[in-house]
Formats: sequence, C-alpha cells, structure tokens
Amino acid sequence: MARILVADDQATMRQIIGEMLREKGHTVTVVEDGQAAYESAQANDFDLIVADVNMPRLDGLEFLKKIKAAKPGLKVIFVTGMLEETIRIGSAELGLDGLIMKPFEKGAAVELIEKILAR
Amino acid sequence: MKKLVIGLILIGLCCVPLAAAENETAPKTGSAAPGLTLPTLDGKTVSLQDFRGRKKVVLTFFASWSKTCQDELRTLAELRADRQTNCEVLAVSFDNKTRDLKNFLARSPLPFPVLNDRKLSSIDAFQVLIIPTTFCIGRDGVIEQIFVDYDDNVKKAVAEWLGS
Repeated sequence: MARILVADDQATMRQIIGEMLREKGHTVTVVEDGQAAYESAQANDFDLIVADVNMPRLDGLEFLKKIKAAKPGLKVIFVTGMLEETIRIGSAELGLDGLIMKPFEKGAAVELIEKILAR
Repeated sequence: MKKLVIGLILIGLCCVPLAAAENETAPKTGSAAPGLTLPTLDGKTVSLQDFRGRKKVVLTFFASWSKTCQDELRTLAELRADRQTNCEVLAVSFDNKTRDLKNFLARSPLPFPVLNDRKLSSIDAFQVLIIPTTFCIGRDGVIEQIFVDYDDNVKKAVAEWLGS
C-alpha cells in the first residue's frame, strides 16, 4: 500500500480524498496548504501527492515546481475545479503526473490514482 | 515536454472557477435549497422551486459515463414509480457533451426530468464535489438529507425518506 499526502485547503476535499484512499488501504497524511505540503514531502517518503491547485501560502504550480526539483521521482496529481490553459501547459512542463477535475466520481478518481501509483 | 497523463474526469478542458468550490455557503441539511432552473433536452425549462409546497424532490447530480450514477438513476426510477403522486426526481447532468447525454437517455430512458447542465452552472450553488451527489428536499424547500456517492445504504436511506 502507498503513502499518500493530500494537500487541500478545503476540509471537505481533504476528508473525501483521505477517506477514499484509506478505504483502499493507503496511508494518508493531510495538510492544508502548499507550503505545508512541500515541507511534509521533504521530510517524509511519500509515494504520491494529491494536491489542490489553488492553495494558500504556496499555490499548486509553485508547489509542483519546487517538489519536482527536489524530488523528481515523486508523483503528483492535481485535483482542481479550474483548468486554464496556462495551468494545463505549465503543469505538463513541470511534470505533473495526473489531473482530476471536480466534480469527480470516487471510483474513477481512485482508479486513476492507483494506475499512476502502479507505474 | 514530459508526458502528461491526464485523468480528465467528467468535464474535459472547460474552465470552472475554483472559488466556487471553496464557498463557505455550501447547502446544508436544514437550510433552504438554492434555486435551480435548467433546460431539458427537449427544450423545456424545469425549476426546482416550482415543486415547493407541492412535492418532495430528490435532486441528483450525475454524469452519464459514471457507472455509480447509472446505478443510482435506475434506483431512483424504481422508487419514483411507486410514489409519483407525492415526489419528483430531478436529475442534473454534468455531461460535457449533450450528445453523450442523449445517447445515454436513448439507451436508458428515465421517467423523470433530466436537466442538461453541461456548463456546470449549478455546481456553485450546490457545491457538488463528487458525482453522484443527491439532495432530498422537503415540500417546504428545505434540504433534509444530502448523500455524497451512492451505495446500498444511500438507496435504503432515500427509500425511507420518500416513505416518511
């Protein structure tokens, strides 16, 4: 089972994503902003990070840029309600591994996450 | 450019303001349901508020590609068949393409209004993060139950609510 960090400033999303991953047996850590996600990812060995794009202190793209520079092999998925072209292209260039759009179906989201974990 | 594996779930590449999903005024049980007026595929317009004072409403948000949503819609069709006089089901589709919704309804006709919301205009007011999300709304327009996702427990709870 994987160690997964969930970063989202919205409590409901942390709860939903955390629960659906724990139900699959994964170990889940949750944080509320991008800076906390970066610090936690630096201090721990996660297999995957599921992050919001619009987070306080350090937004998703900046977080992605920093964490991929520090840990290039660490997999990152964005969960977001916005997909502006700049984010899509920027995320691709920065090595984003996957993207889940809100609203999403739990089963489909878990399937995508596990597919990316299995790579 | 590194390969981007995109799990584009539900809404393709359209832009949705994230701020909407962060709204603190999310509908809760005990609060009045937000207003909702959307078109059906045959050009009619249906408003949730038109049922106030008349019928209980089960309002569900779905996408036709979702197996879980399909299961729930089938169940709602069965439950409604027994209670046509005192309740209505309204199903709001978040399908990105109207064609997908049409094809789904051609294969699986539903006996209640299916509203087309491909631009996700209702997502802000109802704070839908997961599909399906289902609201049980009393005759007074107040939200009595909210269910996120769907399973046998939700089926049982909705049936009980409709029978209450």
